[in-house]
Amino acid sequence: MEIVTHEFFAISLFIFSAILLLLGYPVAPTLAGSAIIFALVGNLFDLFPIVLLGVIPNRIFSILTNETLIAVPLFIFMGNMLDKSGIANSLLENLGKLWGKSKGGLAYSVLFVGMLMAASTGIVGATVVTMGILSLPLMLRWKYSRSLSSGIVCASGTLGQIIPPSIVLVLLADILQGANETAAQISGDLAPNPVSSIDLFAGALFPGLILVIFYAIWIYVFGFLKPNEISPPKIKEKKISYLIILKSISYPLILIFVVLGSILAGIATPTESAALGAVGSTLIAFLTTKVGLKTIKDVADSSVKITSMVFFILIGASVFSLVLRGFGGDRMVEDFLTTIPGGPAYSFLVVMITIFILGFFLDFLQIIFVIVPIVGPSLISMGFDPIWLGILIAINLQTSFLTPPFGFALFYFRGIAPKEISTKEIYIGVIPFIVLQIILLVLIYSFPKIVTYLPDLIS
Amino acid sequence: MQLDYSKFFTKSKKILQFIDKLIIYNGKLSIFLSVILICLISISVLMRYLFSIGFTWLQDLYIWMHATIILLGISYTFRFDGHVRIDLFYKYSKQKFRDIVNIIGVLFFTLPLSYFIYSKGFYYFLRSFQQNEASKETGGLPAIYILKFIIFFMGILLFLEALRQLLFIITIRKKKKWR
Repeated sequence: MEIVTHEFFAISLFIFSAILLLLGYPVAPTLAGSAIIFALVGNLFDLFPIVLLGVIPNRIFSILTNETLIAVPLFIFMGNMLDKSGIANSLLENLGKLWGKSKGGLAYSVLFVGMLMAASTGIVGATVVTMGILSLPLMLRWKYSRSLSSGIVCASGTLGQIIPPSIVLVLLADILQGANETAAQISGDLAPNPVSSIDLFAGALFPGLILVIFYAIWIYVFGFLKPNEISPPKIKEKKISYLIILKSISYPLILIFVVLGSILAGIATPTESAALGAVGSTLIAFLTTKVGLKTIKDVADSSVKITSMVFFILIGASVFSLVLRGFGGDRMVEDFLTTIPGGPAYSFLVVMITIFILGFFLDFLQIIFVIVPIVGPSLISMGFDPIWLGILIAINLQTSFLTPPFGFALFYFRGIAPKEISTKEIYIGVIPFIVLQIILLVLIYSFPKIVTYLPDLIS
Repeated sequence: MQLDYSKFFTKSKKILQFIDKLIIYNGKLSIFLSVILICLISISVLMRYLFSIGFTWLQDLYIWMHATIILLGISYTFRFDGHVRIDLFYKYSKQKFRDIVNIIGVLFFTLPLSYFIYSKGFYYFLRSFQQNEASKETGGLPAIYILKFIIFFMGILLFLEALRQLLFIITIRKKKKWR
């Protein structure tokens, strides 16, 4: 029996690159490089047409000139500006003063600011770290429960993925659209409904808000169960005028609403809104916290780095999937998914569990760029709605990032949390939030309308 | 026998400095362009909604600019170790392990990748140049081969940066050992 077959190469490419990724070399060149090595070896066995690698520049060109993806650097700039100019910081401080006197007030403030920050940056690591640095010292000083504090920071930090306008949703929409077209070819549908980032934003709005409400309810319940561990300190804080608070809250709120509103109302494309958001955040920074040219330079610098990082992974993953397809890997996955007993629902479950586990090892970007193009077409051609599927994948991954012991958010959080918070306390703190996310997943699965209502309305 | 490494050091130091300058200079250009990009898109949005004028060439210009920012930014980001790693083990490992991982990565992943980008990218550019290819949109910018040339150039930059990292690790380690 022949051992060295297409299938052998496809499977070993997958396993091989997974192991190599764990070594810790940057993801983008690892994906592309290991694929290229496999292609070269495959060529020796006459199993891979080496000319396929000639389209690499072509792939790079089409990724970089994709018009919808221009929103990505702009959103990154906006989020960075809100973060680096200190707007987010003063927002949290003022909210803490405003709500701090009531039970759990600071926790609600962290959740609220986390939601706003999430809506602007959308990168898990960045939000968790920023939120942690901003709010943890204050929460600890006020003798808040350590596990609740950890949980709320980690959970609201990961909100960035599903609360629009998030970069992740822009990227996911682009990938899903590709998967949707492939699915249409499989099922013979000539004119599939296109998937746009607007649809995904609209679809994510209700689930995102529901999640925030769930979190708030848990804080309330916690305050009810252990009132002493979530109460404000007895020290009298200086009173500050409501006007200042109102000012610091209203600017970022207006920004988010204008950006999101103009996209959802169909007035502007995501790219246009993102550009206005970038300019708007700079204006707010000028008005509230005297930023200078240096801040703009810093923000532009780190935005270019994050943008390059994102697109380099996109390029690396594209080379990877090019080679995987060259070995027939996509057909293998399709065959596997369609032969799972129990029908589409079970295939769906298998995919979701796989993505959940992969979420321990891979970042959001790698999963949506590498895994979704492979499993997406099969699932969509089985009749699953692409937008609904996208949102479920997003929430599923968000849950995965929160789950001990491998969750990404927990690593980032551990990196910035003081030693007095034990790892066990962090784990205990996130468990309620994981349960809430799973409840939301089940809700969305049972009532798809939660996701599809708004996209149907605006289209 | 005592080998003389001093020549190797001075030479590699010069190469290192040259590549460093080149990468950082292009990175700064990319950062500058990113601010221009935001202004450009905002202006085109305002023009469209206030005066309902739109130019296809303007749209082409900002798409190309976006592409250029990333093409120049990738090596710059690499220079500052800004590309995401799965640091499950890497974060807790010793410097020696990290150096080995990085050397393997450069030799087997980054160098081959950059080779395919610049070698295939050159023909990709050349074909476009010979046909004097313009933007596909009517009223768009001419000379799309400029952008394709930058893809080739990105391959070169990536190759140089990978080389720099390799030299850097080797010089640092050798210096520690032999001094």
